[in-house]
Amino acid sequence: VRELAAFPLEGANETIERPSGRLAVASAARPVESSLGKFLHLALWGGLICAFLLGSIPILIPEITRGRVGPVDSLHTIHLCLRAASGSEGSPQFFATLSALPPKGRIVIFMGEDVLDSLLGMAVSYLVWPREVQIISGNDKVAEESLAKIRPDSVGAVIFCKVNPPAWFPAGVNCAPGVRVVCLKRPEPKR
Amino acid sequence: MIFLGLLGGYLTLLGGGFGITLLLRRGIPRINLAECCCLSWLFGMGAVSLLLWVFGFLISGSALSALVTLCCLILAITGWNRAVRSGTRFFLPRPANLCEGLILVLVACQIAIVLLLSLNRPLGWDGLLMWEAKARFAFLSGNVLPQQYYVSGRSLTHPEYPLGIPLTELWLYIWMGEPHQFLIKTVFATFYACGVGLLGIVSARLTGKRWIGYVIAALFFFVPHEIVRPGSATFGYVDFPMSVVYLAAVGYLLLFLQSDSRYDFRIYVTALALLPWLKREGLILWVIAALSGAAVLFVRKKPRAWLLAFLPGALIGLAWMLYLRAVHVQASQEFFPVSWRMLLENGGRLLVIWRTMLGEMANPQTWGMFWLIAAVALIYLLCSIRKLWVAVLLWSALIPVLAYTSIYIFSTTIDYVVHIKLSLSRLLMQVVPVFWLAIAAALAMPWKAKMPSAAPLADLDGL
Repeated sequence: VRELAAFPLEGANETIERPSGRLAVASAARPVESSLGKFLHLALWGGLICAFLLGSIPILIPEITRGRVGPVDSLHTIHLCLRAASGSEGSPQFFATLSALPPKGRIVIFMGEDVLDSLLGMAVSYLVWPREVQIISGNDKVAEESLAKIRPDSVGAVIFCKVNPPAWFPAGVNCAPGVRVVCLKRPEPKR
Repeated sequence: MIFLGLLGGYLTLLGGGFGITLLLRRGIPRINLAECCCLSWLFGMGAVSLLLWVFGFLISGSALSALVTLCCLILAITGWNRAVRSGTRFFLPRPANLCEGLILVLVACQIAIVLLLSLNRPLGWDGLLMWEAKARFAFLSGNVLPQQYYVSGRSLTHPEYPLGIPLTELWLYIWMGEPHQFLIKTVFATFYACGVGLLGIVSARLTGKRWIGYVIAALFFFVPHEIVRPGSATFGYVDFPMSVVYLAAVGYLLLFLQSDSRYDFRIYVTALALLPWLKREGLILWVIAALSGAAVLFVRKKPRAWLLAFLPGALIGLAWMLYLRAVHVQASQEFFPVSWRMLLENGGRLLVIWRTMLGEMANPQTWGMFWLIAAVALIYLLCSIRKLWVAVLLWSALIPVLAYTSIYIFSTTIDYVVHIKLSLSRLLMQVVPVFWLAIAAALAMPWKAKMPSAAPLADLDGL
């Protein structure tokens, strides 16, 4: 016991401030487990682990075998978001329109209340960085009411994601399915 | 070229972390290389993100990246020199028998599967908008997240969340030369590898049984929520990395309790400090792990170590709160401020919350039978609750669950059950590795005569 207590844990240089007596008490106080006890313990845990594996493997296998790796694409997730939300991965025109938005004035983004519509709106707000955005969630009526209150000179562009612009508002460009961009200020010149 | 850049980013980050790990373990004669690599990733992530944040107040662009690279190199060289001077030897654990070898191959395959799954899935909603977006915005703004971000109307990206993971992603973007949503997902597979490694190593050291470490590391993969569900290690959320850091903090505290080794204590302190830097909930985990540490230090009669233990994490948490105040970021609208009035008003929600939680835990599609095994382990441990290490382990596993369920009392969502269903499973994920430690401890119960004293090195040779 004294040897064990003095044994270096991780190396000879480490000193352990542990009186050997404490270890002796700790070791002696524990009853020796019976073989039957160990057997029952192992049987219980063996059964639990087998049940755990049998329950999890059928869930994991279809998930693991589904899908494929790639493509190695710097906008991998955005493309998948756009495909899920609008049915299209986003054409070059879509990205070109967003990157050419006016640098000054905030971008008002209207997005539908559905999860996928929100995803589309958030993806657009992601892509228009570093421009300031104002995200408004709601239906066509909300969009119309909000637009009526907005001062046009403070806004660079309005983007409708799965929301229809009011009839009195400029039509703008439909750059992706469900995404309409209306520039209220002069866009950035193309580089 | 982009792959070379990614490699460069990883190597500098790991180099910095390696240096920190060696400095923390200075004086130790033998270092397990696998353990050192796992810790290097965690500490490298913490160091690089903190350096980018702190130096970002002073400089930006390539000067910032050069300075952080220099710091990583200095850390690596200093750590290495100290290790060489003190005669430290590295060793790589090898399986002792065929069975261990097979399990090791299985774990390696699991890590490869997690990497492939990460690459074939998109980043989740949070992974993209709350974490990766900040890295992208910072990259496009001269490697610094500008103050403009906080007033740019992007409150849905949760500007109040700390920047540990976004700035780690930024570091790789800087090295790659462009933001890359596909390659950045490798970060989370790396966290998985690191988490599994630490889980195996800590389990083995804690129980004194190598085979338990191997078995626990291999079983971890089979919790569906950890691998394939939204919020898991393959979706780019921060909950998984935080669970690994929490595992490191709790695991090394238990090892310290067992061994009284200052090296283990230093690892605990460093991992503890990183918790508030990863996510808002990290502050809750920090408080819980710090209280565990305080109890251990109190019992061990080491009051002077308290300051060392809790100061780094407290400073990081405080600095982040001051920063948020300075950039005028308001507190999240998802929860009411904690108050007695709200507690009394909404206290009745607790029953519904716990019922929903039990329903969530019992969902086999999400958790398999994990919580059943965890419950059995807890019963085992409760039988030995009078031992300090058992009490610490139970506290570290159960109190976060209680805390996380209690926060829904303050949920502002009218249908708070929906709020619970949307987020609770991810919060539970953060403590799953610690529950695996509990399972390891329960599994080892019949052989635990030596606890709480340390298993001698001879028993663990190769770990």
